[in-house]
Amino acid sequence: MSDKKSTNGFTGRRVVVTGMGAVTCLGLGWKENWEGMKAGRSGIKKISVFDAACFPTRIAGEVTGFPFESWKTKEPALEQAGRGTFFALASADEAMADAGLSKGAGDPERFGIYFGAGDSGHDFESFAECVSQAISTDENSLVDKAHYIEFAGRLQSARRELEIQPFMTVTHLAARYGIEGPASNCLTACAASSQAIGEAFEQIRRGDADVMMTGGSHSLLHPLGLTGFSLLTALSTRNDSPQTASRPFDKTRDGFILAEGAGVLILEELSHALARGAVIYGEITGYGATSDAYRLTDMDPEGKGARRAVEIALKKASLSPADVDYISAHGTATKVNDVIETRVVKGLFGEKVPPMSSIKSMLGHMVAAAGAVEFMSCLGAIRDSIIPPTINLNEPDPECDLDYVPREARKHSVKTAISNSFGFGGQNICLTVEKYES
Amino acid sequence: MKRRIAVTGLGLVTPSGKGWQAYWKAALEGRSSIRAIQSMELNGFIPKLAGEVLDFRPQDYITQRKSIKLMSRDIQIAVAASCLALSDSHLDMTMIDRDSFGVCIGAGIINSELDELGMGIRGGIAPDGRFDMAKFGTDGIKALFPLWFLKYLPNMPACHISITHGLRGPNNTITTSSAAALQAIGEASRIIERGDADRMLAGGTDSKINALGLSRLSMLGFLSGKNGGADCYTPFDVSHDGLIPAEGSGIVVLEEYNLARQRGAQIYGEIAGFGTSAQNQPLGTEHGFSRFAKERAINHALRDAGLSAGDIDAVVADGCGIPQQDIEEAEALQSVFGKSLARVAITSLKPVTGHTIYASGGIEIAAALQMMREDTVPPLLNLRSPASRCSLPFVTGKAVKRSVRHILLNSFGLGGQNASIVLKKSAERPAASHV
Repeated sequence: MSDKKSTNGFTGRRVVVTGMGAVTCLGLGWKENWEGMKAGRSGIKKISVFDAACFPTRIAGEVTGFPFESWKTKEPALEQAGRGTFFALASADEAMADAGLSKGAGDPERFGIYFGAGDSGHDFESFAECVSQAISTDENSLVDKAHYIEFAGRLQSARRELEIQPFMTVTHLAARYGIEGPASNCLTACAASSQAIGEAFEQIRRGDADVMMTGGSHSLLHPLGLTGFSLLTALSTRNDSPQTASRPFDKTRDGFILAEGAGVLILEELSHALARGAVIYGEITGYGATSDAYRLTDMDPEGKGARRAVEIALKKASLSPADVDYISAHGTATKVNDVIETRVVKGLFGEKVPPMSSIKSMLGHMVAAAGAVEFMSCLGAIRDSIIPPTINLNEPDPECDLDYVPREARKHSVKTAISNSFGFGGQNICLTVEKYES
Repeated sequence: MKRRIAVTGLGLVTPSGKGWQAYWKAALEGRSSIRAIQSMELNGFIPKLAGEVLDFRPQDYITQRKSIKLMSRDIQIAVAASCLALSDSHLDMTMIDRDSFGVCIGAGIINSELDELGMGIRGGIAPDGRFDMAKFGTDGIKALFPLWFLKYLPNMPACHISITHGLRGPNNTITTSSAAALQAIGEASRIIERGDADRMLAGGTDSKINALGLSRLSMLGFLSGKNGGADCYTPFDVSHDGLIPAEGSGIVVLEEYNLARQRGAQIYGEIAGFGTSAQNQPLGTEHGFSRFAKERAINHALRDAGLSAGDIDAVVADGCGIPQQDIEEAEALQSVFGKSLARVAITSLKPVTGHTIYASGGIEIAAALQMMREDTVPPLLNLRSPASRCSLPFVTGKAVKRSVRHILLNSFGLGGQNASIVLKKSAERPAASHV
């Protein structure tokens, strides 16, 4: 054990990752996802989950082939659960098995959960029907509220309305795995699952738990979610070429691709993992969280908050920028994000910027769930010495002039990686992860 | 040495009024603000009772008119509560490091205003009067306010608060239903304890006094069916039959203890322990099992504080008035306190305002802190005859004087989330005048 780590945090407790699971548009299962990323495959396709034919954006990172029906047959309590919850449960099953904890995580009171689940799906059809029925002729009060409530009571499913709430995913996860330790769910837009991983890491360091389930899940792939981002002009409208639509750092990028999915990790206190002979993917060593406090609709052009998040994470991990071998970018493919993120990284790393890639080029943007899978790709990179690519990067943008690992995965030894996530509204998260060496 | 957490500012916007003083006075006097809903027409819809924040003017707190347009009601009252909390803390904002000042807020999916969303839906109605997805895509989307989405994302209250006050530290949003505000305060304490921030604004905000909120609560069977006067909200009483909803926001200033001492701050009390849990039995099955989850949250908090149940002088129970929840909480308290139960004074404050759901813990903590300062426990209103299995040493009728050094505060969510906090009386008086 190096001395460096023993000074890390006030308890000296170290946190490692021992299990991973994912469900995304690239595949059902972390292994399928990682193979897809290494092959530079895009999971973006035409939206089929609802009729988006007349929407400005008609493509997304939709999860297809998920066995919803067999889950519902096996678990009747999930009958009305949202898509995000199913993705979280499937990912968690995979992560628990991967960690060798299928039979439980030991003392249930020392097993906690800190998750970043978004709202889990929206029953837009019945909602729109209820509002349509309740439209009044009164211009000052477009919708008759009493009528709406009456129609909603008749047409909507109570259980479904409960299930779309962002707290329900954790309730299902805790029930399935008998989690009796601390439990929380945060929702900080695009930073949520990264923030959840960071907070779970801190809970193990503090001694509140020995094993934590963490990560995130989200499905905004419903008419209102798609509409919301469309109106913010955040989405790509390259409807005719879904697979090449997400183009982080490319000069021709025109916004992100909305996606859905989940990523679940099992974090474990090091000695707990060693005692049971667990396979260790890597060690989480740093977590930085800041806020821009700038403007609601704009990122701080200098990215001061983002830079501080990286600095805090590195400091907590006792790392210097020169130690970092790979950066998993937030890299949304919006005009502004990619320029500012590039600026931040250049400012901090100076002449020696490590390779930085955005897997959103392949998966789209899973919003609350994005950070978890990006963090998992750092662990994949450490284990296999392969950096996943930024696909669809063909035409360099003069303002984005770093090594983004364009088009193809690259053999590259990675001992230390960082993962960035920037939430809409100004939350910045950075996580550091290192190769575990006994 | 562990860093200690002081509460040095309280900001409340509740049906009892603005500021913690109005709320505390109402709690002491046993005055409820629950009445028939005034802000919307609800002709056929019963029940009609709620706790509304009346006479609220966002422009009293938010100077930029443009910002108000981007704020739903939940956000407006949260920003107002944050202004009140900072003002109550007497922090000199020009002198402090805002990189180490963060925000942690409990909030859920904010309900869209139907009149606003209705513009888009109306655009999607085909000539035959039915909603048509294709027409919504071509005509409906265009009819919506372009920044509509930004008013309803759960993290927006915390974002607006950070922008309003320039707070650049950690920023988080906790979405654990009625446990959220208390959990946000607990998590913010941990952020200060580990040194990631020196100060945090923490609490919660909620308004479900709108068509979407009321219809969901009603469908889920959470609402009380009683439709009389202010005395209809009866947690733990034999007549309990659900909650009466309210809106509000409660936000506190948390500060590293020594920093608070050094600036001579008024210290209301300390966050001594924090525990959480999730109901870990499948929903819709044997609900009775979830008392164990509530018990675990309380035990985690006691252990974190290094205290045993016998050290607790008073409990602010969640007491949400849903029969199953009341019974589970009462049984959890009976089990945790055992023989020492008789010497504890137990109250619940939800009948004062109605249930503010995501905001409740942020509001109730203000009263809990005053209970320690004034050694007084306000009564649980409307308790005539405790429901079966809900027998606890409740304070009823009038507020009682008694020494309160440690207090337990419970906030339990409507989907199985539980948070408990143990507060400790501040032994020390301010080092200097805070004026």
